[in-house]
Formats: sequence, structure tokens, C-alpha cells
Amino acid sequence: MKYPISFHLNGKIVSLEVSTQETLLDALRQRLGLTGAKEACNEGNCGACTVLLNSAPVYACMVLAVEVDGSAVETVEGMEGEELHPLQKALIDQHGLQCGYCSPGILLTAQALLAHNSRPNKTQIREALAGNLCRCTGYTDIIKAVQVASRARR
Amino acid sequence: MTRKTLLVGKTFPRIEAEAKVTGQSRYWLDLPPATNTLYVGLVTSTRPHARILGIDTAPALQHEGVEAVLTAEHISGMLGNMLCDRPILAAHTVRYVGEPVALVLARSPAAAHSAAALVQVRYDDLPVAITADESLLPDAPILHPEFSAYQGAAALGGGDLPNVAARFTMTAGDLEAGWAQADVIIEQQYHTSVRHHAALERHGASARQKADGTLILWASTAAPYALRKEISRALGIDAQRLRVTCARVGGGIGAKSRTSIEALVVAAAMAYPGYTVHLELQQSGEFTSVFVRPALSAYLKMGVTRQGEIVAMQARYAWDVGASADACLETVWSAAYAGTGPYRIPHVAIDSEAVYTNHTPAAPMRGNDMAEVHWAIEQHIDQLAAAIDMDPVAFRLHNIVKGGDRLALGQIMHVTGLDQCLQKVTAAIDWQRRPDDRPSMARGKGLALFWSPTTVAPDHSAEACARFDDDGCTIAIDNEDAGTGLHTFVAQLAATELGLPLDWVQVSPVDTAQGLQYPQRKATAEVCSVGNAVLMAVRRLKVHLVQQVAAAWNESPNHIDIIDGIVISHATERQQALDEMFRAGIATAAGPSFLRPLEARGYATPSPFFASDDPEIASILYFCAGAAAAEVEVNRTTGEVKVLQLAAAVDVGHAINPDLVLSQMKGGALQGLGAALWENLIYKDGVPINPDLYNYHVAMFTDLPAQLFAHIVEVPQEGGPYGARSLAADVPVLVAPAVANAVAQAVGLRLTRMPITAETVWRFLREN
Repeated sequence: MKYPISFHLNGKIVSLEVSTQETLLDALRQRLGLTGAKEACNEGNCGACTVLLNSAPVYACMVLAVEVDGSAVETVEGMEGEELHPLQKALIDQHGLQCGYCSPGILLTAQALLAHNSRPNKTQIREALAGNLCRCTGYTDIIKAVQVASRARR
Repeated sequence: MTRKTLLVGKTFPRIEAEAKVTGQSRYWLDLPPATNTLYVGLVTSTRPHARILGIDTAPALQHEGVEAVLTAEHISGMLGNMLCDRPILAAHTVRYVGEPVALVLARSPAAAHSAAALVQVRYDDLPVAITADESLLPDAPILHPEFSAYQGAAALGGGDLPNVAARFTMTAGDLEAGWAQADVIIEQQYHTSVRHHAALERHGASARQKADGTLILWASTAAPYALRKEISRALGIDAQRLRVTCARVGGGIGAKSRTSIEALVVAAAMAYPGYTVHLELQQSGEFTSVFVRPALSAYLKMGVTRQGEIVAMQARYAWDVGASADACLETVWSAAYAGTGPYRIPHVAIDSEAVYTNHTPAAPMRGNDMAEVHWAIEQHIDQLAAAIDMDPVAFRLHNIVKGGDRLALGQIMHVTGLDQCLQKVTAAIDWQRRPDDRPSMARGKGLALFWSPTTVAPDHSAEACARFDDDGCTIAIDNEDAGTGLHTFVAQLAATELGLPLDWVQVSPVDTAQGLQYPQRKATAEVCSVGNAVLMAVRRLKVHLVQQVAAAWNESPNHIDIIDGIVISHATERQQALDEMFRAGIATAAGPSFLRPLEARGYATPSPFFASDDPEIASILYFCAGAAAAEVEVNRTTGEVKVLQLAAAVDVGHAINPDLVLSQMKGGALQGLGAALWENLIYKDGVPINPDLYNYHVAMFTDLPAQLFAHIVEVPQEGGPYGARSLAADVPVLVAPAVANAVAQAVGLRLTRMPITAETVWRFLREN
């Protein structure tokens, strides 16, 4: 059984027919060709597939595509405008990435954090990002990047 | 005109960073889907050790969309680099839960998945040995009865005991004389856990046989050349028939430099020409069907005099390598080479062995698993210091190996910054100040030193190819950058040598079609070997380039240089931008002269610090060295250990990109902390009970210690590119024993088994 859905994806309306078992992650990656959200554990453990659903971070592997009908979804592909988003720039400058597989998910979770807390402290950053694993960096430089970006936005 | 920028020793963002943060980087799973694809449903063993009595494929074959079910009847061959002891598909016996037994090929992933569940395998269970200690018991089951027939087996010193695949020993002095000199002798057994590399990106591979019979493999690997060599040999095909390509690698941590499931899709592609055979491991498969980290059972006996001289050491390092030893051979050799720890000990007998067990094959994780060896040694050193009532810092400084000392290997040690590293970490956590206990909280500080031999396999060498055309300079090397910063390092070396801005240099994705002839696999040696190969290639390239310009300008090549992308003549002060030369030709009085695209190759066969006299055994390029210190707080009621401060210092020779070096160190430190406190793949009756990222604890943001210090020490390495030494492998080595020593100081108990979980501490506190 296929259901027609429409939603805002990075500011543009998209419409497609999805099956009931199809996850948002599969719809984004396989149907819409947006591979920025990474498939890693695919079981809601690691956060690499994090996207924003109505401005809140969600694991796209744990959301069914039919659920997003009428909603707004943002992925890493929608983050940059004319220039890199301050979070993207800070993550590069502060060396907050190595293999890069976790980076898109971390950027979106951090974006959601900064949207409601423009000057988070280190503890708030750690708690907000606790659902995103990174095996490479040891997190310190990612935390620094979020702080630098929060200052740049003001 | 002088050079404005020297590009080594300076921090730059990694060259691929922007593609990664914008989501534009393509990892294996992001490659566009192929047409005419057969998806693999992998049928894996549910038993740790059993004979296969039969496989019923009929129900799976009747499932809609299923094209075929392949078993060992259709696919056979043994994988390995030096020791071919890993069957591509289990034939008559399974040796671990997760071992591939059959492949379902289907038209959709869903059909492949559900049909795989219909394949019925009948087993006759065999006794199980899951640790090295169990496998060494006299009545232990024999895992590889046919071991002596395996290719490579004869050279490895194993086979003397039933489950021992390789053995390497090192002796020096006279052990009995050493014990006679000792005033105190301490014996202790130590254990580390089976851990998982847990790179976020899972393994996956797809392959296709083209009409002309050639095969192409796309895989999530950092070592395409190594895969080509091992797969072509295992399947009995000419290596030139197989092309291996890779995309960005989403973390390797050691598990993506070896061959595993990739051979399955190549074999299936050969059986189904024209189809792309596609296999993605699921999360549990990533934990059970590829690789884990080896565990160590270490027995140490050391003797010390009242004056604080370590005089004798006996060690037995039994490596639990799972069902295959091939990937752990350098671990076995390194543990013997460096088995004394960074200490000067006159009388030594060390035995290091690879022991087969019934779990997933082991592969090193960040280096040659020196973390395991130092978990034992550095705890033992603290016990010796305490026994003669000596300060652990003073005791270490008194006994450490210095440049000029004769090693048990027989070699004279080169200079390292080991003492500087110790000084840095003790200063960072204010070592002298005794931590204040609170009533329910015990605090302690601990430290650890390490050294680690950067080893190279006997066939080791490296090759690089540098090309210059109107796109700038492109470097081809034989290893992908799985996150270490290798490509940025290579670009910095090339730009510096050629006199170019950094963004003129690119490093191309690794593809065996680039035809490098001398591939190497070992990430720990790549700074030295790949770095030197790149230096040779770009130096040759520059000579060709300068010669062309000199001929066009009618000048001596000796007068011509390239600075910040501009070709200049020191004699005539003539100058022209290099990119313009490629676009418009070299400006001469007679009009533009065409500049040909240039290509040059470079090779490196590093001269080892210690050359093994056995052609089958690895040599040592140099020793890396460093120190760590930790302050912990132990909750006396719950047993919970909290790390308050953690400091690590490593002598990296020369930090080519200091902030990327620090980033590697901080990441490594947190992995080391995970080893100390959490990471443990647990087997119950041979079955892994926590094979996923929910139940296997990888450090999270909230696990980060309040204070994490990383320090670079630079004592240049002779023979390293610009004096650089490898580093990424080594930081986790330091942390776990430093934490264990801090816990021991806090609560007065020695926990010899890794990891130190709240539960083990709580039990220990109750029982003692």
C-alpha cells in the first residue's frame, strides 16, 4: 500500500508516494538522492542519520516517511546558504571531524540547540549532543566548534 | 624572493573537510545504486563451534525474488595476508557466531533478508573455547585440525601447541642470574577484554564481472591493494583481472585494512556475470561477521632490587585472536619486540603467541595492540615501585630506556622524548598534589608510559604517483584516509616540496587501476613509508618541471625555483605563475612554449631501525613513545569510576599539522578511556550478547572527562618525512593503564581485568 505525502524539505515542497514500512532515512537517501544524512547503525543508537523534523532533531532511521506528511524536514544539504553555516565553518576550523560520518547529524543537532539556546555552556552542549556518537574525535573539538559558532551568530 | 609560507609544521583544516560538513562526501553506501543488482542476504552461523551436517536451501530458493543460494559447494578459498586461515565461507565447520555460511542472492534487499532466514543449517555442536586461557587447556577443542596445511603456517613458529598459530620469543641475558639479583619478585596475571573497532560506517561491498571477464569491486575499505592481493589469491584469479576502488571511509580503526566479506561478493559476481552483487552488513553483522579486537592474557614476573633497578622479566603474552590469526601476526611480533615496556632490563624472556578461540577473527585496532601489553606492564611497574617504597615517577625515570641504551633486541635505542612526555603529563594534572578524598568518594592519580614499535611487514614498501596538469597537482597513494588526516599530511608534504599553495594539491581516491606496484597495508607505518614515497615523487616531478621551464627560458635549471605557485629565475628575476604556464604556455621571447603534463613516481623502502633476520617476520622502523596521567574519583558505594583529569603526551617526531595531531590524540584518549572503563564484547556460552551500539558502550559526549589535556613532544625521527613519526595508533595505549593505576591508588585495590566497570569495583570493594 502506497501513501502520497507532501512535506517541506530544506524549504521546498516535495511530494512522493511511500510505502508504510519506508523510513524517512530511506526516503531521503534512496528516493530523493540526499545522502547527507548517513546510514550507520540503522537502529536508533548512533545519531548519524539525524535530521530536523519541524526544527527538532530526530533519528531519520526511526521515523516513518508517512509520519512527515505536512511537516518541515531539514537535512545537512539545506544548511549552507551563500556561505557555509557558522556551525559548518566552525567544525572545519576547530578540527571537529575526522572520518566525517557523524558530522551531518552532529551539525543538525547543534543547529537545533543553538535555535533555542543561543549561548549554550559546555554541559548544555554535551547533553544536547549525547545522542550523537563520534568514534574519532573525542568530542572536545566539536564542543569548541559549537561554542565558536554560537559566538559568531551573535 | 623568499618563501612566504612553509606548509609543514602548521595547522590547516583537513583538505576534505568542507565536502564532509556539507554532506557532499560520498561514502560507499552513498554511491548511486547500480542497475541489475542482486542483493545478498547473508546466512551466518548461530553456533560458536559446530560441524555443519547439512544446509537446506530449498525453502529459500522458493521465495519470491530469489535468484540463487550459494554455499561452500559453490564458493571456496582461504583468506589471509601471511597466513591463509580464514575460509571465505564455512565449509564443514563453523568456528564463531556470525561466520558466513551461505549467501542468498535476491532481486530486492527485502527478499534477500527474508529468504536468508529460511535457509536451514543443521549443526552438530562441538566444545567451545572462548578465551586464550581456555584454548590453552590440555583438553581444549582443537579449532584448526588442518592448521599445518595452511599456506604460510610453517613459518610462524606456531603449531607446537594445538591452538597456537604463531609464536615469537625474545630473550636476553640470563634469567636465573636476574632472579638471583632481585630483592623483590612479583608475579601477576592480567586480562584485557574483546573489544570492537566500532567505526560508524559498517562494512559493505559490491562487485560486478564485466563482459570482458574483468571484475570490479567497490568496497568500504582503506586498503584496496591489500584486498586485491588477498581476494585474487583466495579465489585463484589473476590479480590484474580484479580492480578494487573505494569511496570515503567512515572510520576504519583497523577493521577496514583487512579482507573479509568483500571476497564473498567477488566470488558471487564471478558466478553471476553482468549483475552487481551488493552486500551491506547490518549492525549485528558488523559486530560478529567481520573483525573484533584481540584480547590478551598476560602473565608477568618481574624482579627488582631495593635500590630500584629492574633486573629481570619473564612474560607470556597469549593473544586471543578468535578464529583467525592472520591479521594479528604483527601484534604477536610487536608484543615480543616491545614486551619489556620502555624499560632497560638486562635479563629477559618473553613469549608471545597467537591462540585460536571461538569468536569473530581479531584484527588490530589502532596500531599493534600495544595498549593490551601496557595494561599489564604499567600496572606491574606500579606494584614494583610500591613494593620497594619508591615513588612511581622516580622509579620509572630511573629505569626508562634512553637513547644509546642497548635493548633486549640487541639494538642500540634511538633518542625519544619519553622523559619530556612524562614531565608534561605529571605537570598537567599536578601530580605532586595528593588528591583530597571525600567520605564516600575516593580519589587517586595514576600514570603510565608506553613505547610502541612501528613495524613493517617483510614485503613492505610504498609507492606514490604525482601528476601535474592544468588542474594542479594530484597525488595517488595506496591507502585511503579513513579519518587519520593522511591525505592532508600528504598534501602538505607535496605543496611544501613543489612550492605550491596547499589548495593546488589534491589526493585522488585510491583505486587499483592507478597501478601502483608496491602497495602496503599498515596504517601505523604510513606516515613514514607513504610520506617518503610522496616526497620522492614530488621531488622528481619538480625536477622535470624545472627542466622544461629552464629549456624554454634558456637558463640553467639551477637558477629556477617555484615559490607559492610562481616559477622564478634567481638569475634573471623572470617569473610566471605556474597555472598560467599550463593554461597559456611558458612565456618566451619567441612566443608561448607548451608545458607538457608531468608525472613522476616515488618509492620508499624504509631502512628499519631493527631489521628482522627472518624474512617472514616484521622489522621495526622506530619506536614511538609517550606518557599519560589520570585523576579518578571512585564512588565507594556504587563502584562507579569517574575520570576527573586525563593528560596524554606523545613524541610525534615532528607534528606536520599540529592541530590535527592534537585531534588524533584527543580522540585516541577517549577510545583508551572506553577500553579502561566500558568497552567489552561479552560472550555467554560462546554467543556475543551485546553486539550493537546500544549495549556495547562507545564513549558518548557525556562521558568526556572534565579536563582532557593533549601535549605534543617533538624529537625528530631520523628517516621520517621532515622528522615525523606515526602517532594515530598510539594514544589509546596510554590511557587505560594510567586509569587503572589511579583507581588502585584511590581504593587500594588492583584490578587486573579490563574493563574496570562499576560492577567489578563494587564487588571488589565488598569482598576486600
